[in-house]
Amino acid sequence: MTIREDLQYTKTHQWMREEDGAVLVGITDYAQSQLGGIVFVNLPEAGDAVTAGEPFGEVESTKVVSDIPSPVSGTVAEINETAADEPDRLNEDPYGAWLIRVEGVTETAELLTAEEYTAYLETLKA
Amino acid sequence: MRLSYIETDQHDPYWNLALEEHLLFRCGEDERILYLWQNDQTVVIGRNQNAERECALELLQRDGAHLARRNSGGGAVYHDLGNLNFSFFAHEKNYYAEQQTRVVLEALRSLGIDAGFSGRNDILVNGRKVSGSAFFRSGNFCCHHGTVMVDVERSAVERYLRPSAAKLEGKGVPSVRSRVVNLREVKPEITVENLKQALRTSFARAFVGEIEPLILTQEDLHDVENRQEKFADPRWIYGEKPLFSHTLSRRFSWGEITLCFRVVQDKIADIQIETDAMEPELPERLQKKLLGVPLEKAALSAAFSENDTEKELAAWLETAPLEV
Repeated sequence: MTIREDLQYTKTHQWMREEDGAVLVGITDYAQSQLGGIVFVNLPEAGDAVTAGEPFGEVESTKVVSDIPSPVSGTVAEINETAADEPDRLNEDPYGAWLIRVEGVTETAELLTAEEYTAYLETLKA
Repeated sequence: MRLSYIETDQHDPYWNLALEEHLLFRCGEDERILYLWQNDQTVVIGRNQNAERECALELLQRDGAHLARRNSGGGAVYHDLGNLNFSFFAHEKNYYAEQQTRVVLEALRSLGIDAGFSGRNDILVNGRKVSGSAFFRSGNFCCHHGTVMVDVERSAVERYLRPSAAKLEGKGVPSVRSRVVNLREVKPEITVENLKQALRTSFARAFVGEIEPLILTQEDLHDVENRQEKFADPRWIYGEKPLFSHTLSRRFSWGEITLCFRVVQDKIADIQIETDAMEPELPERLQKKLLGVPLEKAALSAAFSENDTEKELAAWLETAPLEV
């Protein structure tokens, strides 16, 4: 299981990273491994508002449909069309295949450091 | 660990699906919920399925039966009051699909039915399916739900569900009817009430605890009603109209394939491929080869020559009907 030091995480298994005043959001390696082969990704459109803690999209794998809560409130500036068109990229490269880029961030959900997220994943193995 | 149990006498599929979504959001971190429910005549399709392709919409409307879309993935099923639905909810740290399927399996065995697992989460009796499952999650909470056929009107299954005839033929089974079986056909004295009791007992035994009834407050009911609007909304049920203008479908020895094209200025601008072929890269590979190709038989078949599968596809496309 890969957890990158340079990202922030949520307990619902999203990662986020600040870049040029905006925030990139994706799903974690743990999330993709739990989902299994991802076959479908549903994303908002540029210009849509997202709310911290509320779902902005969903993924369907061969096993399960899961929604994706946003770690931040703000406005979607861009979606990753490549990830939407080739959902298996989320399995292959979860930290490279970001889903949305959010600008005008006004609020964040509860965020975890890499260390805290690692500790949280440990509690799920019980 | 708290074990909560709820059943309702509500048979409206939209209300039931709304309660199910509500329960996912109210489930506690140290709680497991079992919800048992039944729908009036309803075809329930998977989260990302195409309603028109999956069922006979005109017949459903004529007969006053419902069409509903659920939160989980997978295929279309038919419900009536001969069917019992179960939903398990738990925090991801307490959630084990196989253990939950075992609750159902053990309930059936306690009723004297010789049931067994098949595939990931089907339950079979005498080689025929009586129960299937699907899954969804939100945040850290998971739902595992499924059907158990007690006494479903099987002719209705056949009437309303429209799986490709070619697919059934290819797997050597003549029709939908014989792939599934009702528990009643195996054990005539069984009732939905017996089964509910057996499931509750099996749930308490598997997860070791006393079951507490889950009582809905006015506030809960209000939330369920809000969620019901989503499930009853035609935009949720039917989705956006597909943009694809041409659909071609064919069964081969390696599986069935459906190609849906969107054509812009006589060229393929978008393509959706559905197949049950075992080769996972097949749709993506075919998709890449077809994008931008003119919608003409010769051009389509020329796109494929790499291996035997592609050559078979090429031969088919040369004779395929391409009229809108």
